[in-house]
Amino acid sequence: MKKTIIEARNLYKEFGKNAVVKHINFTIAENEFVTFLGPSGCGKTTILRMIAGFEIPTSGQIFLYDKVINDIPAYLRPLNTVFQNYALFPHMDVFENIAFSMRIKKQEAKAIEAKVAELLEVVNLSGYEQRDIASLSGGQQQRVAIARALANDPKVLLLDEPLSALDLKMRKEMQIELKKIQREVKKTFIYVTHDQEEALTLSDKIIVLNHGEIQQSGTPIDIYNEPINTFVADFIGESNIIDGTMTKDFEVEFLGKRFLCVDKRPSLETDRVQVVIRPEDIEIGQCLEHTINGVVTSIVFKGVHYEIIVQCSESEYDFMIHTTDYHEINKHVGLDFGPDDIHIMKAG
Amino acid sequence: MKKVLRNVYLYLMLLFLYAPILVLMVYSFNASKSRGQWGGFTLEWYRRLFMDANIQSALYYTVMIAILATIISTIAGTVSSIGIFLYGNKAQKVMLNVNYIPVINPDIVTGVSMMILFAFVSMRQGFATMLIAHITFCIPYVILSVLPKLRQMDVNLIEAAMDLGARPMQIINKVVLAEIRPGIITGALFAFTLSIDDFVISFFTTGSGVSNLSIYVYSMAKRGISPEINALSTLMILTVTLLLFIINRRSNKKTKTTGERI
Repeated sequence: MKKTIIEARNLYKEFGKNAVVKHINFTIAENEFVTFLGPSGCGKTTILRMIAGFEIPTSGQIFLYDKVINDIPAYLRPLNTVFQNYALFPHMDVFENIAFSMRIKKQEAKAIEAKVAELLEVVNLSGYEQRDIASLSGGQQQRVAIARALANDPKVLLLDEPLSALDLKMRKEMQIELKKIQREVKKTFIYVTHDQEEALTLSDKIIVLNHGEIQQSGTPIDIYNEPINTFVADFIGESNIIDGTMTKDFEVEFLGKRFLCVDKRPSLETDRVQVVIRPEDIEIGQCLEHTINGVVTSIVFKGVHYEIIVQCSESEYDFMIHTTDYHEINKHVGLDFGPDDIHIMKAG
Repeated sequence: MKKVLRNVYLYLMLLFLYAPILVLMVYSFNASKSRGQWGGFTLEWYRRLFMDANIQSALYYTVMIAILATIISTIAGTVSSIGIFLYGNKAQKVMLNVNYIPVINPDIVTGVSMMILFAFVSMRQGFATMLIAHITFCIPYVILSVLPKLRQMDVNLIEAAMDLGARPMQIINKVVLAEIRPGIITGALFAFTLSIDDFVISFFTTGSGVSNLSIYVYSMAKRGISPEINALSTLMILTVTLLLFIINRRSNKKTKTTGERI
């Protein structure tokens, strides 16, 4: 078990009468890449700002190791932030931006020079020391911002949607770069994003938030494969969510048919459940006794795959399917999936 | 045709505006003492100007007051701007309106009220009172040029500096002042120009023996317009024009660089 570096206990924050973060608890281990994922307004940025020290929790505690840091001002916390808009100092060049925290600490000029050179190497910008901030591209500014935040040797690096201002291609490149940097500098990264794909790509652990509450936390694989409720299922990737009933252990009934599944009957007062099937887990074939039958109502080419909507004959439920095969509109098809592909959730 | 008319109109306007100044400037080089005729080119009036002890003392007061008023009002105005900026948005608006009142107040009202105030606190009028008055009317202009710079500044910069270990004073010194420096310089130039330029408020707040150039010109003019006044006025106009030119160039440059940044 890794050592816990950041912990929140019963963390609560309100602005005026508006509760933004509602009594949440979480732990973050050393050297972990943790992502807070949620739609805008879910409180993820507020949590990050509380960890950084820009907001003071209304109640609850934030721990750094075993010390409560609620009352420690931001400038004394051994944490650094990469801001969404980078917040580089426009009146300084690249070197001075990165050197800023070391100059505040009055470090020796030699040491500063060496450290800046080392950091520029890490972020792949060697030779850019004297460049003006305004002359850099978005991606380069992003790298400078990361180098600047790392200059102080922070225990934790906080990243507030750092890639959202970049275009898609640049974003993908920076994702890989970020992961590489994290491995290189061996630090805890706390990342905030609304982009589920980014979260899945980067994180060791994802904490999914909605309305200031934690919906689910776990590894990307856990969260993708075993979403705990419809919000998570819907937010993390595309999914088909159908109401169903557990008839017994390892058997669920929905859309008028019974299917084998890998979940036990939940020990709840009701047998009503919701069933999640990912679009890529469904196979389109012929109408058979055991398949769900319907009509193709739309097909859209998405590059790697087609996105096909099949309307179920009996219930008019629209299934979304991702497949590399082409199927004509109005074609009658059967939808097939295995027990592994059926994920059971509590009815929401 | 329309274009010609438009240009004629424009040049008529410019002529109307600048003819008096041009006449004054030309006459400052007129060898004849009479205003009616041209007696040939001379620099005699400029020579006399620089020999005149009264004018030298007036010049001394003008420059001293302008420099001191600029330094003090720039510091006070910048500190006030930062203070106002740190208030909430609502209080910021109130403070801005309060700041506008002295700007739109007629000079005569400011001058008289300052005079009454000095009498009220039994301050003998002279250099000190004139300096205080100049500082007073310069501060709002400094605030007007510094505050917008603060509002343009990315607030994340302050948080970034704090995040990187800077304490509040260090944030102001290393980040905020650097960011708003163009505004501070413009404000200082404004203050300097206004101070050199001022007659009405100075007239009401100075005491015996302390006259700045504008007051001196006024008292000379009461005894009849001498060509020396023309020379002096010409120099004053040139100084103020030069300062305005610098201010304008600065604000043009500013919009250009911010434009680039976007």
